[in-house]
Amino acid sequence: MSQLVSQYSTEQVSYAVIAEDIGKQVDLNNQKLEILRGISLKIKRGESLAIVGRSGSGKTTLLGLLAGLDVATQGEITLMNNSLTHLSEDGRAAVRAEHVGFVFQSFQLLPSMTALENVMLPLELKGDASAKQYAQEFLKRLGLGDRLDHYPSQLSGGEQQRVALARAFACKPDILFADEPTGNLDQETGQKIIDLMFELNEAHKTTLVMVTHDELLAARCQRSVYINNGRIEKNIAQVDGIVNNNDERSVLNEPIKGAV
Amino acid sequence: MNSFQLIVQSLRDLSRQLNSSSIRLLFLSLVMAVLSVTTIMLVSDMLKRSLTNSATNFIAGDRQLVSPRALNLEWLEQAERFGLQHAKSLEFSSMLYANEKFQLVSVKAVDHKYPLKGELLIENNDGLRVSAKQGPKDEQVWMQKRLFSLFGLSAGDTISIGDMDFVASNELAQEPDAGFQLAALAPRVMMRSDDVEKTGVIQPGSRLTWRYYFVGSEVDIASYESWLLPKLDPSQKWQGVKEGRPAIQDALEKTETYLLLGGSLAVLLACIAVAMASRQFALGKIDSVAIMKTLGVKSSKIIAHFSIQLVFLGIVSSLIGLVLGAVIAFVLQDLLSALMPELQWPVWSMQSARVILLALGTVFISLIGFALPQFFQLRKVSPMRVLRQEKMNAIAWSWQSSGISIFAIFVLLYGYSQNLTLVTGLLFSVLALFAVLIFFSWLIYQLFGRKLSESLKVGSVLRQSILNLLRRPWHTLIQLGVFSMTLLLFCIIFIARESLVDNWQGQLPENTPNHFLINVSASDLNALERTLEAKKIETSGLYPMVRGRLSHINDVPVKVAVTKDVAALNRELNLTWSRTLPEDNRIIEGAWWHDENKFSGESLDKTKVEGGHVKVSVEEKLAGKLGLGLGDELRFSIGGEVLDAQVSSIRSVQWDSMRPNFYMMFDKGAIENFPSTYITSFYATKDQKPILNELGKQFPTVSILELDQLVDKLRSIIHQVSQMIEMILVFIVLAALLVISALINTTMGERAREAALMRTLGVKARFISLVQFLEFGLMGWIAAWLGLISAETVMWVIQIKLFDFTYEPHYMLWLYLPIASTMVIGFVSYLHIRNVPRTSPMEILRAYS
Repeated sequence: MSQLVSQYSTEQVSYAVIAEDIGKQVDLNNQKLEILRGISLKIKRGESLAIVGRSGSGKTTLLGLLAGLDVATQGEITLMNNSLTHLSEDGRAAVRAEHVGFVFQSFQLLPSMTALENVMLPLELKGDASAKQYAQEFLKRLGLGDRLDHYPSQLSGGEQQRVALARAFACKPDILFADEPTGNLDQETGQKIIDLMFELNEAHKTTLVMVTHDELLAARCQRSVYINNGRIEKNIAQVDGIVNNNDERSVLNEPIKGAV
Repeated sequence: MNSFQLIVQSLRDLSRQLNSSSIRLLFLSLVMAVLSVTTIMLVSDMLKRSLTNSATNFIAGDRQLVSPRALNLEWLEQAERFGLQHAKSLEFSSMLYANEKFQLVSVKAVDHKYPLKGELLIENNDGLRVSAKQGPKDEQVWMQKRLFSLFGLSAGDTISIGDMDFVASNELAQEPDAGFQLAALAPRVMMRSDDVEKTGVIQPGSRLTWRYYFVGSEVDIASYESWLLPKLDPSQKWQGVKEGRPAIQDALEKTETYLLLGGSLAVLLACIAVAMASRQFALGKIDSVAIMKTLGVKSSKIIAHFSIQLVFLGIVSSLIGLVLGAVIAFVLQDLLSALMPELQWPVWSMQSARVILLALGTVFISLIGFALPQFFQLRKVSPMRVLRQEKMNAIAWSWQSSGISIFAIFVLLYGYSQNLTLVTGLLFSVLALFAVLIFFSWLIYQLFGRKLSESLKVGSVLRQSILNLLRRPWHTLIQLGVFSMTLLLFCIIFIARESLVDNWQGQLPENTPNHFLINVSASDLNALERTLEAKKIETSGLYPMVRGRLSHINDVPVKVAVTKDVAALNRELNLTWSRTLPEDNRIIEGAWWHDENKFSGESLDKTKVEGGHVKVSVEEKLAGKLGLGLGDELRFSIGGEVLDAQVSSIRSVQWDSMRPNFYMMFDKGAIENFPSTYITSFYATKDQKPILNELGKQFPTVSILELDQLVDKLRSIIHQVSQMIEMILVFIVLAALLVISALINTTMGERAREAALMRTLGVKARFISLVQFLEFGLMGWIAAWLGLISAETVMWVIQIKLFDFTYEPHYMLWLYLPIASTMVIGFVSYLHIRNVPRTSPMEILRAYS
């Protein structure tokens, strides 16, 4: 607990993400379409934030900008003390490699790779020699020990998203960006995935930024930002929403051998 | 919706997809197929015309009719009615009298239109060779140099033939249709045909040869031929270039076969590219088709929609292909016309109509056989797909569609080459080789793949590339198979070109004999040999010639034994004897003399030979025509005496080697007692020409036949033709690039998505491009070795086992092909994916989710 307190104190000064007056315009049939405008946002390290809004409100675009997948047409974004605005695509890639993990609505597993290979991929790309062993361990802990050599097409939606979570957390990211992680799952499976995601988040002390249109899911985050028509409508802190640590899943806290 | 609306809608839909890579590839592949067919047909037609045309110079017309009698006037009038021009000559032997000496000469009396083609050269008063438009004037003759020296005459002196006196006005240097039978002739005298009658030498029973020369367009000649041929009797010969000049026939046929083979392979490759690009195009349509079906659109309408798009693509691509092909043929013609003035732009004819028909046929057969089957599968797409994204592959591989494709390519290649053996052989070999290549790819995959990747550093580009290859074993195997097949075909065409050119150049090497010495008497033999030796001239050997007629085969008179009309039986043959087999002759059956018994060294009398028979070696083709085999007995009549011989071997003879060649060869001693003259040939450079004059003076009775211009001409034609066929290589390379590109394109969707995902994981764009480049480059490298080794093996088997030629590996290919293939395939894949690392990963994820 003392660890937690000390971390909270450092969060006062250091933010995982800082967005200042950002906007995004796109050209569509020679007309300028403003997707986002005047968005300013600070996300503390270890904080969990939900970006909520209707379809087409611009929430996924905001997530992409915050994660450095796309470039804002105005304003400035700082990710883990790196100013994304002034970085090249390769520079942003380096920031992502070091700090960022993703979970997508449509899972985005590579169809030509097995579950194990999908989790190994980011570790291998970082040059982790024990990638295989580590990925195996991680998948076993998520209950996918008998699914290691299965291809995405042979896995259920829930299983695929668990593999995606394993892939995201395997690299121990500082920030996890999740885009409607339960959007393609039924309620029960979705619930299990969310539980798992929050547990992993807790265990790895990860900052979580999640896009959702599900108010209940948003309520589990410490804070919710409501986007409407490209602007922030509401910014609500929900301290009650923090999920308590579950002793049953405490295994997830243990360090895994060979981790980076 | 009426059909007009359907067409408009399909085309509008097509216009919106013009930037899709599969449509572009489909279009380019169709253009490539048409372009290959058009250009190769036009160029091969052009070549054929120009070769034929230059060859017709050697028969002094497009066709020759050789007859022992004067032709019916009606036949010639008919030729005029068909639009043909004609000329004639009459050949006969007579005695020439001058300075109180007699000499048997061969007279050629020509009309005022001779020669219709080719060059008639005489020496003018200044000793220069000039081209004569027509034969000698009335009461004048032109004579070969040898006659001037024999009689001690000079230009302007008088000679007589029969009852008439002539002025020997010029020296005859070259007649276009001398052919190679001159060896048998007495020295030539040329006069006007109007003068023949006045000489009074033509008597009933005289042996005469009438030659009628015809020129005209191929179409007119063909119609005249069909009118004339049924009227000819067996003693009359209708000759074109092919009948007259076997060397040119051979060159023509080999070039044609090569062009057709190369062109067929280019078309085959283009069709494979069409199939792959269409498949990719159709795959991209699955979702739209599913949606159209949920909206109640019938399958037939969907197929109609795509068919309209394909037909439109087909029409546009055939037009572009035809125009491009014509432009290329035109440019080639323009470039080469300086070297080959005979090269003709193909005029509008049946042939160009055939080219256009074939080009259109190519496009539509390749669309029906390769593109449509892919789209046809879209009928089976279930509208359920809209609700449930099944992992079904709507465009499955099927026996039917492969069958249709194979049948289509068969029809196409047959229509194109009209050569059933070539097409069947080609298709079988391609299918069999493809299976072999897939097997070896699998072997490499099994043996090296996993081990190699595990030994590499984690996170390295090479390891990622190899892992990518290993993850999609089927993709990798098929890609390796297609890449190596493509490179194999390239290698075969490359190697075939080399051996074709070598073969031609081997036929007429730099020091091919270009002069013949004929009529060397036995008494001059030693002196001549010494003179030639002193002048450092190497001959192809001095062969004795004995004139004799074949009278009986196995005691049956030849006229009875052989019903076919064989030219060699109508005249005296040149018989020779030799201890050794001439170096370009080969024994096909039986054995040459040495092999049987050692020659005792003394001259054998014919009666001493066992059973009263001497041994004779017969030329292969004549033996075939006469139906001769080993052990058959031949009876020759030589100057009234009889010689019995037994066939002891059958030889092949290279007739175009410019060396003395003989149908019948005897062992030394067998016919030595008969009167003989000697013949030889040698190579002399332009600078050595004065030697000929010296020889002429020293040996006035020896005939010197100068063929240097003809040999030069043949050699330059061969040189130009071999350059022209390199064009085929360009087509093969382009078609191969299309196949490679189409194949790479099929996996690009998945790769782009992978690349985007890797980038969200923080992988740098350069790394992704490098992995991609290496992955395909590696396949290119392996495919190059597979293709190269298979091509060398195939060509080795063909050359060594079938043709008994020597074979050497093509080190140039071994050096450059693997590097080139790695770079090209790697680079093409890079071009396909180059935009992916630059686009925002956000957009790609949206596009592919």
